[in-house]
Amino acid sequence: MTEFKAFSKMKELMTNYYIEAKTTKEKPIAWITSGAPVEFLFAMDIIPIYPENYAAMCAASHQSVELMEAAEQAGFSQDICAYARTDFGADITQGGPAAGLPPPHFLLCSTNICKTVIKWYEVVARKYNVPLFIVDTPFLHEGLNKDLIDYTVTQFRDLEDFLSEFIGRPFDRDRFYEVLALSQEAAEHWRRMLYLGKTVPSPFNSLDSFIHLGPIVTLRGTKECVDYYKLLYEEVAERAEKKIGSIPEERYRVLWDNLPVWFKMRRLERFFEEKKCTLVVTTYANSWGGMSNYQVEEEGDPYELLAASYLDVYINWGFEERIKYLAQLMDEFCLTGFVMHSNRSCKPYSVGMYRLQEEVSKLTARPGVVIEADQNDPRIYSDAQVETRLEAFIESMDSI
Amino acid sequence: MVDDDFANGWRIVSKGELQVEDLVEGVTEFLFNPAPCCCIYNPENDRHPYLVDKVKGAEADGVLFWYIKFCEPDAFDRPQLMGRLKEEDIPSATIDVELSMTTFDAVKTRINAFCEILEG
Repeated sequence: MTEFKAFSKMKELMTNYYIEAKTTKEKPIAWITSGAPVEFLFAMDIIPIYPENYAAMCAASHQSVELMEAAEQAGFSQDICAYARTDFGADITQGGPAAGLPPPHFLLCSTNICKTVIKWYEVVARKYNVPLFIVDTPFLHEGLNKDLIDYTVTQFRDLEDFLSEFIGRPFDRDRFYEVLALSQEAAEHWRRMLYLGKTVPSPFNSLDSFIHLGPIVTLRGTKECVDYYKLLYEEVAERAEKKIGSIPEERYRVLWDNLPVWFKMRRLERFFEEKKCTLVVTTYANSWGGMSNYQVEEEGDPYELLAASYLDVYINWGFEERIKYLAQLMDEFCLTGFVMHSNRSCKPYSVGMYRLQEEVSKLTARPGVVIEADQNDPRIYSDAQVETRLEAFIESMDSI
Repeated sequence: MVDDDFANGWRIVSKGELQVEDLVEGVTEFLFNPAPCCCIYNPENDRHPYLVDKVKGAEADGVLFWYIKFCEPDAFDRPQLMGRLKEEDIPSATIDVELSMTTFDAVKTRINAFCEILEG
């Protein structure tokens, strides 16, 4: 990974966050999906816990296989999302980093990232006998409209009532607005940092952004999160200004679509570096530059703005929008090609991917490749197969 | 086989006529009731007590789960459903099926083994 001074700060932040979550006696714990409106929880002093983030940590530290096997032993099919299986396994064995997650008092799930989370959280709700609140965010087949925003806002109001009843005091709207502002500020630092990838050579690579995602997913809405991304932005901006690239010699610049292959980060990093290829931008990391990111002081109902920002995310878009966005990133970041990870675990991200590749290639006149892999399950990953495809793809690109 | 809970079996057959006076209400009612489906989240119509009641009502000795790849909603539900049946002393087993399967010998063996368990 590119060496950033901010990295130690992130480790400290994430460690403190997990220690508080594991040891707190006062604060309620809510398990929450990565695309759910966490701001409502921080406004009520509830600690959000992200099973997805935890599952990724398990895979990155090469612990996911034994956990998934424990879940499969308990009857969960290998066909279901590997994040869910990893978490079920950690729950059954109390294994994984920090020996599993603190038990939830309730669950908050939003369908803007996938519909699978409903089933996943139903299993958790039944296991722990806790309430499950679902924010149903409709898929944007043909863009965002007022009806979809209104529908989502009504659920935010219900969520406030739910939290108020659960905690036993009125929903703290003043605190909520403060949290919204912090959330927006952190997301904006993150977005600006990611867009520094437009610099040639790119001052960071996407494997770095996957690693530095932790706080924007788990802690957006806190002051610590803002401070961290400000620090990271400044460090990356300095590198961009001095034209320090993430790899010694950058000949190819590519986009990565879909989640990372968490258990192959190091190997893929070495592979791309040897080929003088930088992964510059990803649709995945970009998503958290959009969620919660709007001007709070702008005229307009903050609830509507928040609803729009949570609905309007890449994985919740129809094909036309995805194609346009991918082509736009290809141009804005001066890319020579793109890599699409057909991810067995993440069906909504992967379905139709070969068609997307064809369309984006046609539109941009640049090559793309689809690799078959999984975000968390090394048992279905083949180094030779993936790397052979990537090699052929890199050879087909024109260098910068 | 004395009863079923297939999505294209009892779950459809058990539905009444679609009420058209208030179409939105009618469609909602039609989707959510009476048989709960793994694809629809409705805690007020829980699959667990529903299935236990259905087994008892049909005086069935056990339950065979018929998992067709890649029905993720069903795959998520099944382990806990089987656990619930076990609590009620109702034996159950799973058969994995792919739509592209052409030989069913393994399935037959599994069903035979399950029947032997039921016969005690």
